[in-house]
Amino acid sequence: MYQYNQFDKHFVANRAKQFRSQVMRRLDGSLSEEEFRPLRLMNGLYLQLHAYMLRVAIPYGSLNSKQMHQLAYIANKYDKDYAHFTTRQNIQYNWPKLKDVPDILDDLAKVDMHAIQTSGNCIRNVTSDHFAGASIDEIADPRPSAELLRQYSTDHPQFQFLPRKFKIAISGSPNDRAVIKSHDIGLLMKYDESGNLGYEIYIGGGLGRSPFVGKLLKGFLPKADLLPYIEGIMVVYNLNGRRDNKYKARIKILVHENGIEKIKQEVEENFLIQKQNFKQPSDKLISAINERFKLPDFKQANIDNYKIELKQNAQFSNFIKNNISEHKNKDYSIISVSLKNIGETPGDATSKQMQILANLAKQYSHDELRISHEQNIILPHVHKSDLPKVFKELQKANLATNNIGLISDIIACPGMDYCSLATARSIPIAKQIAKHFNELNLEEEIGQLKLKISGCINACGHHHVGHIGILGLEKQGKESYQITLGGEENLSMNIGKRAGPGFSSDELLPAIKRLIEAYLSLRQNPDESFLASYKRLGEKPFINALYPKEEKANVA
Amino acid sequence: MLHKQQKAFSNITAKSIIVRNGFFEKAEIDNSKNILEIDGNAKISQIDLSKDMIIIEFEKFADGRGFSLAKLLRQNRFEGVIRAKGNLLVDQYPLAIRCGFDEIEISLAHAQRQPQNQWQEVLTRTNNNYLDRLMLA
Repeated sequence: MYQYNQFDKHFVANRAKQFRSQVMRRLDGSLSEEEFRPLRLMNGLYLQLHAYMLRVAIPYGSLNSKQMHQLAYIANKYDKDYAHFTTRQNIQYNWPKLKDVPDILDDLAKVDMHAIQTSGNCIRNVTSDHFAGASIDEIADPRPSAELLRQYSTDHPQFQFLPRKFKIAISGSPNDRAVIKSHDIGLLMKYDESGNLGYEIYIGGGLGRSPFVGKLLKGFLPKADLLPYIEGIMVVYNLNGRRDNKYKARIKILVHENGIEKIKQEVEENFLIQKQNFKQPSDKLISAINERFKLPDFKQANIDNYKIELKQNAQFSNFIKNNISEHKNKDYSIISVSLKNIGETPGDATSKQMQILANLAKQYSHDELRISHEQNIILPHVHKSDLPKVFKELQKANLATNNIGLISDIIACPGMDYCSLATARSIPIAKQIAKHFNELNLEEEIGQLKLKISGCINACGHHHVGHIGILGLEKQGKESYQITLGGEENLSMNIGKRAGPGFSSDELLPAIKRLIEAYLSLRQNPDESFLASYKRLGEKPFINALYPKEEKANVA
Repeated sequence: MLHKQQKAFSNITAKSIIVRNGFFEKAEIDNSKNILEIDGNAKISQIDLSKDMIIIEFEKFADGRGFSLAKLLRQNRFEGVIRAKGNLLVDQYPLAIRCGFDEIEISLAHAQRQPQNQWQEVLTRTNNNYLDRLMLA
């Protein structure tokens, strides 16, 4: 777990002070609204549909119990006693008052947290695998690299006014849980043939209105070259990215319009300049970072109680089946706590729930918590002998929903209920679908299925990479929901294909029902997932289910 | 094509102010200097590095290309004066200095709205930054 040193603390406190001065200069007229806007954005403050929204960074998704307690305190003191965990490992407060924001930033700084570069046309919060440092399938812990990139990109003097926002994600496991190919830069840690650690680098991925799968930029970059190479990419983007059209300003468009080969050549040329000029961080600094991500001291204890509970308690064993992932240490488990309680807003947590999770982390997870891009909260290091106790506590707090990876574990953006960009509601749609399949007790039967909902073409709900994606649009004053099929995240990332005309909000659930019924009748066996069936059979039977012939006849 | 190489220096009028070391100075015309004026479209390989001064124009404060151009000039061992010309925000001043700019030319109206004391205040922000620490520690 990264602990701030004096430098970090000083920097964050200073930055909060700077923001206070910016707010004052806005109020006394020194700064126009147009001038103030990028400054408030690079400090995480948005103007939303009904109010300001403050987006706080949770760097690479890691936090400790003290920080989680403070997030709960802020939600209680300055907001409506809840907050929203986002798909980019941030937390959003939806109702802060502008006058309170400098105080909130001070309160965050007290626990080494901040809202720096969570918005604006700069390098955003670097995201990573929410199982980093815990998962059995990991090649290397990506967090020291993510932390290095955080330090590098924070207040980087060249890159605060880029053509557009810039997102970097890093995975230390070949089972990519950070969706690296949907980022401006995606880094995959790997070893070369001689056993040296480095990165495979993807560029120009993205969702939004023009989705692209990231393209391979470099097969292997030695670890020590990371910063000069990233600098090379950033200089090429800053100088050449389009500034004439906001919708064509991301690096994905630059790569698409120029071709990956041309971009590769320019990056390599600039990388050489950077390598000559870049003084590498000292070994001392690097090892000081590594030191902070050391594995906790794992305890040794008998796990018989866990084995007995598994046999005797069906609710417990169901929870274990869906919400547990395999840990590096065979006597430990990773718990995913679902924030998708049926009928509630995906990603929302109340202050009380945050406090309970903080206490559980302190007592049972070596004081660590993680936020996943799927808007769930992870207890990364729980000894198996503690699992029965933790499960009981989660049950009491209404946090034991055992739907991780199932149809009701939906990613949804805030949609028209909060967002000024949205063209349709997404939260009520998510609630409706989750409730339906839960009531029929079908979630388990359907199995692994990623359903993702965005309330506009900006695609914050990642619908492009949902096995089933739903995109809410506005057609002639009414909400219209387009369905995409066959999207996929991880390293085989694939953009889902639009199935056909949109559905009204009333027609949507029946359409999803037909789709699922078709899958259940078409699958070879219960182990064949929706995505596997779709890949085997192609889109046709699924499209037929969505648009049955009789209905078409009726319309005609 | 959009390069304004060799653009006459005389079009800097008394309506501008130069911010240098946090202080406002009236923009003077120094005909003895060998000056080149470029904008964000400039290609670094085509710039004559023997000039005394290179002026990089910022058409809009939000167009950050000038920051990378200044840095590249310094990386290419340009040792003359680099001036930013455009109504940059006070908060961009420390960034500009860190990228290698020596001074900023702003309009009189901009200087009136964002007075000298504000430019002096932000100068301390050039210290204690992550990048210097990473590269020098």
